[in-house]
Amino acid sequence: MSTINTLPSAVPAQGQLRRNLVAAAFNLVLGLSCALVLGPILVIVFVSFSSSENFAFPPPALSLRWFSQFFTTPSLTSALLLSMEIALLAASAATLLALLASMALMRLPSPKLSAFLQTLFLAPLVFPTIILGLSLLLFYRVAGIDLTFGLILAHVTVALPYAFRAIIAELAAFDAGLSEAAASLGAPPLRSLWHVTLPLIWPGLLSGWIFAFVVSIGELNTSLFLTGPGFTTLPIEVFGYLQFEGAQLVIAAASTVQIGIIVVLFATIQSIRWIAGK
Amino acid sequence: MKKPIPIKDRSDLRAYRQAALLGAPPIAYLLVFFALPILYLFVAGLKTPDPTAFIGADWTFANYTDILSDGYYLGVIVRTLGSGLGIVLIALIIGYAAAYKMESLKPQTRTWFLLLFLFPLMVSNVVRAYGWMAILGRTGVLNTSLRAVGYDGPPLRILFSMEAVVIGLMTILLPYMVISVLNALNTIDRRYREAAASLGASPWRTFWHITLPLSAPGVLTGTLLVFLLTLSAYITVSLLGGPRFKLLVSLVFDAVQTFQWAKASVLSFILLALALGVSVILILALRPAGAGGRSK
Amino acid sequence: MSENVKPALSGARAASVTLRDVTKAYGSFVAVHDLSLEVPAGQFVSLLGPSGCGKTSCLRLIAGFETPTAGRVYVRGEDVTNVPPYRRDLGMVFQSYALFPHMTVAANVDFGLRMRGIPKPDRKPLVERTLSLVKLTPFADRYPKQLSGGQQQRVALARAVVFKPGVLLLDESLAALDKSLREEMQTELRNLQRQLGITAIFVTHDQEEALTMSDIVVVMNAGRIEQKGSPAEVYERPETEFVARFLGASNILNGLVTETSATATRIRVLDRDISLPPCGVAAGQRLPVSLRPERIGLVRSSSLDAGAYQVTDVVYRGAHRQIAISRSGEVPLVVVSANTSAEAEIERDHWVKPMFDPASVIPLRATASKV
Repeated sequence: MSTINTLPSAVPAQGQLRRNLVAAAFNLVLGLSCALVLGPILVIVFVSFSSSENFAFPPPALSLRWFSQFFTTPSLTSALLLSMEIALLAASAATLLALLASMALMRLPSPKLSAFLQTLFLAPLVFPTIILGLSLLLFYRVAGIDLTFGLILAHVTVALPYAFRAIIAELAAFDAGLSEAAASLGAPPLRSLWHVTLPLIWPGLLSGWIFAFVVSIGELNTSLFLTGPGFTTLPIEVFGYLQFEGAQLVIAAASTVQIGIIVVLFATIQSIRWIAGK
Repeated sequence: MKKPIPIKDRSDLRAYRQAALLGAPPIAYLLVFFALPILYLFVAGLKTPDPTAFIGADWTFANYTDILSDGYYLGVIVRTLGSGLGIVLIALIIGYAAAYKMESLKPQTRTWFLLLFLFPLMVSNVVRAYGWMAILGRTGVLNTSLRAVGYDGPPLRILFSMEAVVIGLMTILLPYMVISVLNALNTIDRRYREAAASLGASPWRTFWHITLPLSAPGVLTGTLLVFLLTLSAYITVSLLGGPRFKLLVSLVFDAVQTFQWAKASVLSFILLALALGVSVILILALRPAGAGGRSK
Repeated sequence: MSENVKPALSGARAASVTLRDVTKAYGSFVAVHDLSLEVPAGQFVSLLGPSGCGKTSCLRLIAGFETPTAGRVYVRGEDVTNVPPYRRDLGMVFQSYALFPHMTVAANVDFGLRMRGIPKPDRKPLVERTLSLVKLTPFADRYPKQLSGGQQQRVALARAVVFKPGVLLLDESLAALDKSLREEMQTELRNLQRQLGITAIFVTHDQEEALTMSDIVVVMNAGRIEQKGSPAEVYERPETEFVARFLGASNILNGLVTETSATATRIRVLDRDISLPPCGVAAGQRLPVSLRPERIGLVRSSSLDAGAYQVTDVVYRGAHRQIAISRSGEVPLVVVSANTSAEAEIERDHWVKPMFDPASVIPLRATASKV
């Protein structure tokens, strides 16, 4: 009987120790990953509340002086405002286009064509955005398109796949039978959309919009080419400071403001998920 | 034997018509503001440079041959590939281990960790790179901390080096790897592992023969995302690498700054070719074994 | 779309439905095959068949969710083939009910009236009356997911009839309910249909349900109509082997044609010579016939009788017993007998002889296409 059993028999003490070590190593890696990913963000938030003139870690004392300076520096506040305006417009346009695209895909009877178009709509997600920015700059110059308008369009393109992903997932989960029921009750397509589809897919629409907004507000690579003096988004303004004027703490405050906006939006998305999941 | 039946009938036609009507705006938008400009940029690289116009008049391959025969550019291409693949490899090892650990956690705890990894992705990369500047700089968190624990040598000079770029980009992109791998691990039926264990496989062998192959799609997604994003991370490279550390993306940017459109185009499309080439290799290498016979 | 829809819960305005030479193909799969069907106004018609027989496709063609590959669809004599579903004068109860989850019961029922542009003051009493018709008045303000399956079913029904459509379409509408509830709803549905004087087209795979509820049963198989007739007709006089089998377990026997003439076909089956109407099968050939289990009686016999059968199985089924008998080299015969009858004492291994009225032997056509 024992000749059949060739499985390594456990040596209790030694095996236990090794298992504990392996488990500890995995815990360590997970903890380290979180620290590496979140650490830099937390450092910035922390030092933005510093009272000192120059970067010092840990800050000697806490204050809000860099925030008050941020809100009284016109170049920074106008950049924040522009970022918000562009994000608002770009996210709305991207959501609308993504909704149309998703509805078109749900109706296509051909799975092959549908898969191809899905790849097209998701393409800007993996396409190197720096090349897109460069292409758009050249294109706008040649076609004579205003760069302000062009910047919004660029953000729409970059944000579109994020909105599309959220919306198509929601639409795919939507029971097509409900649209048929509405039709059988006399609702033409647009009224069916308004009374039945939209009230049921709003969580997907809203989180798609927020994703698009977040992407736009942090967008760097296309904005790099399409902004200019006096016409800059906040991330590009921050980049300019970091590159040419050194890391002043007012930039930490600017970053913390951005992070704060993201926290609010991120929490909103999570609570939508939670409400919709109930 | 009976009346021939047309292949596409009218319900299909109606569906196609509706889809075309709905799909026209987004498709047109992407063609005009995505595909067309990129195509135009490509053409610009195939024309003789003309300082008075965006795009030259005569067709030529000289822009490509000039750059591809220049040792400096080849060196940058190799450095771009090398740092990209290095970042992918480190992210894969750390990210896989982290995802593997997360998968074993209770769903509630796992969700919290997932949120911890999702949140940084929404924060602008310039802020995250700034964070690393603050940590790695001469008076940064790292050097201050070292001093506080009694180290009194010269301050570490990590910022403005390839190491800083690798650390920064790796951590900025790590969440993509963790999330992709975690998604794949989540879809693996627990019973496969239990079956392997019941057949006498040790945890390590179960991992090697069952879990790892079945998570290949997640590994593929993660490596692809991380590699592609390293290629266009101009701002991170420029902030953490400093003015003298150049990757391909920096050269693209420099060419635009000096209005060398043809050169910018050529460098861009070399970058795209790298992206495409590495993607194809990764896809071929990591395609799940069982998927060979499956149609697309 | 509101022009010809007048809301009124009473007054017969039932519409007829006609399918003419309708074919529906999905790619190379033909779901409905050159099918013609006439549904008279005010009738309760069941489309009965196994899954994949094309019954649901027929219903969706009538509803307008599908357009036929060939052929025309008429409602109330008007060609509606290219009329979109929201302009057809019909109500539909879906298999999964498809109640709008974000609307209350009342709002669900109100929806069709709203879409028809009826002013609110006129809608309210209609909704209330319809809800009371399906006994849901106390649940008007609840949401669908707060209701039981049977209640949801009633909401779906109320929603489909509130605007008084000419036709009510029901797609396997009772399938999701458990047995007792389903039987209750069958009666209720039938009463409601009569009360409203509405045409009903009911898709089901449950033969008992179809027989209980319908004026006309249409048995479908592989995209074609196998037989159409009253429940008694299709049950008692199945025309094809498929119908005989699908409507309850029947004995399908092979008769041997012994003689044919202009007025009759004589066959030999179960040791007896039987005269049937002429059916075009030549002498010496086999003719399938159906003999219902409950039309066979049994008498005790003995092993010495060369033609006797032996009882191989007796299954107690409550009100009746199902007895299987066989003879070497023949297909077993199934007999159903009431527990109060003389056969009640027959047990396993007894020797018996089957008795039957020759009129119960129904000649069958070979099925158009086998599945």
